[in-house]
Amino acid sequence: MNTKNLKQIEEELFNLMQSEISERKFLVDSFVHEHPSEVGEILFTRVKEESFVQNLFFFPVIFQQVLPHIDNEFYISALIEIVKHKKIDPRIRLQTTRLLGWKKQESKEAIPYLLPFVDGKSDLNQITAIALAEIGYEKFDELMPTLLIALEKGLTYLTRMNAARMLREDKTHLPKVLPHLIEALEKDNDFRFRQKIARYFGEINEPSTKKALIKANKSDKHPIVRSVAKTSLDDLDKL
Amino acid sequence: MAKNKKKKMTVSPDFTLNDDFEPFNESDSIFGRIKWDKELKSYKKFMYDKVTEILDEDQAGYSQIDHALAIASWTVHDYFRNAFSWDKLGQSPANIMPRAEPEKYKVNEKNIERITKTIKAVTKSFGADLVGIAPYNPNWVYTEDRMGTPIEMTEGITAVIAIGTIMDIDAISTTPSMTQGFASGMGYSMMAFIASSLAEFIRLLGYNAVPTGNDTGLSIPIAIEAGLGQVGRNGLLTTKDHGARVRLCKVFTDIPLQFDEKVDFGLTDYCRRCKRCAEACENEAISFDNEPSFKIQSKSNTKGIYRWAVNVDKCYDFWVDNGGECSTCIAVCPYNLRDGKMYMDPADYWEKRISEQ
Repeated sequence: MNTKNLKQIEEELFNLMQSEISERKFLVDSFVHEHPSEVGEILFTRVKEESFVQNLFFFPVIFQQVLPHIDNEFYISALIEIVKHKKIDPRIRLQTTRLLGWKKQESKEAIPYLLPFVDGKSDLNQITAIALAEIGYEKFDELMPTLLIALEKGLTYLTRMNAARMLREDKTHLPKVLPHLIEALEKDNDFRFRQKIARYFGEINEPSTKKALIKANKSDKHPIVRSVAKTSLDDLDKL
Repeated sequence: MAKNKKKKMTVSPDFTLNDDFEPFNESDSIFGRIKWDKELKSYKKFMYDKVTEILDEDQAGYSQIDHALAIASWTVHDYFRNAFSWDKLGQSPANIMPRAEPEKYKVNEKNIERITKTIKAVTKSFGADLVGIAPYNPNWVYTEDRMGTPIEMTEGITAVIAIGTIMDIDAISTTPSMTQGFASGMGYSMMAFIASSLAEFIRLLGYNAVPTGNDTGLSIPIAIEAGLGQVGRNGLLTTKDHGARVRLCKVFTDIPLQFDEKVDFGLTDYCRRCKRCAEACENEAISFDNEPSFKIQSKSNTKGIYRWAVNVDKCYDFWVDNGGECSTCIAVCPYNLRDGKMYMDPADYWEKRISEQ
């Protein structure tokens, strides 16, 4: 690919992105799908620029339509370049961190750039801890406090569910985690999250979780949580 | 010396099949296995078993009204017994006037394009939103039906007309509520109406037509080969414009037709980098693996196909506890969100519908 062509592609990409911002036509992804390598190279270069990363208008299009289609060669590198920026908007950092987490071990080079954002109580801190757990950061103990905050106070039910999923996967910490999961089953305001915990408890043969399931089956305000709790109690009886 | 290049494995629209691939036996589907597979957790557990204990008038989406809506929406599918008949329906019991029996309609090189477009137009006139035509591929025809009866496709079938109907966006957004079940049920009833009407249209031109819903063959690969979309991480046909919010049926036929091109809008790479459906799934039935593979997650997965296999046992377990289907993986998919919304409170759904009256 010569420079001229790359320049033309860049021009066309940015024109499409500009028009996408004003009228949602979902044309950018088709263009990127046709030029995954060239657009990957362009994006990888541009995300290093502070001014580019600060442009909040572009980022919904980049997340939805550009990043999913660029070549592997550039994908994680571009995400890492984005999180490297110190003054980046927290919304962009949050979304980028989530994408890195989804790639699991393939994102391990991002760990040093994510670690500074674990401590704290914000949504970003929680998403970062979840992403690091997904990536397989070996010092899981360091993530625990933030994951427990995410479990209790995550802004969305998905954040709380993801925290629960990560905490549950690490069997060594289960005794410490169980009281928090029990509390979530009793108190969380989202029935989808509560039903999921009730389902998890069907796989854990523990007196404390069984007691929580009996309570949920009897008095949870949502019928699905009561229904799943009943199934989990039946499952425990079969163990 | 030329390097021995490793063949690139693709999920869709071109399928990568392993040596252990064999056409699916429908009795291995979850709805077959609940009747015979004693190892299945949901053996002999049916989707509506828990409905009476679930119904709760204080909980939007789980009231008797919601359940009635969901069940009633299936009526045409469930009670129009001839909808999926393999034979010409013939004389209507409701009409005493005998039908005319014209000669076979001639299709040749000159009019094949026109008749193909006519068939598509007719399909849409009957209510379809999406239509594509694929060459007949026996790989996707079940070896046996749910009851264990062998399936032998009508001789001479050359094409499959894949049909998609878009499901109600508001109802789907109330997932996993019973209100959402209306969207699925309507989709199934539409299937019965469209497939049967189209089949009868083709038969009246003098050709064979086999209208099918979920029976007889795998609708998803057929729809992919007919150019309607690709398969996603959630195991569903995903269209570029409406995500997986489509219900599928198909008509096998021997009328000469032109075939559609398959489409590739980059869904596989998208799913490699997106795990929204896996995160949101109510019972973690969707794979979190980065890469597709030949791994199966359930006896109800067709073996030997490269993709993200869904653990349909877990999916169905939730349906039983939910008193009906779930569309969470459909609702959260970014391709659905292009013209939809992720979540709507069932109470708001009803307010919206009632206020429109």
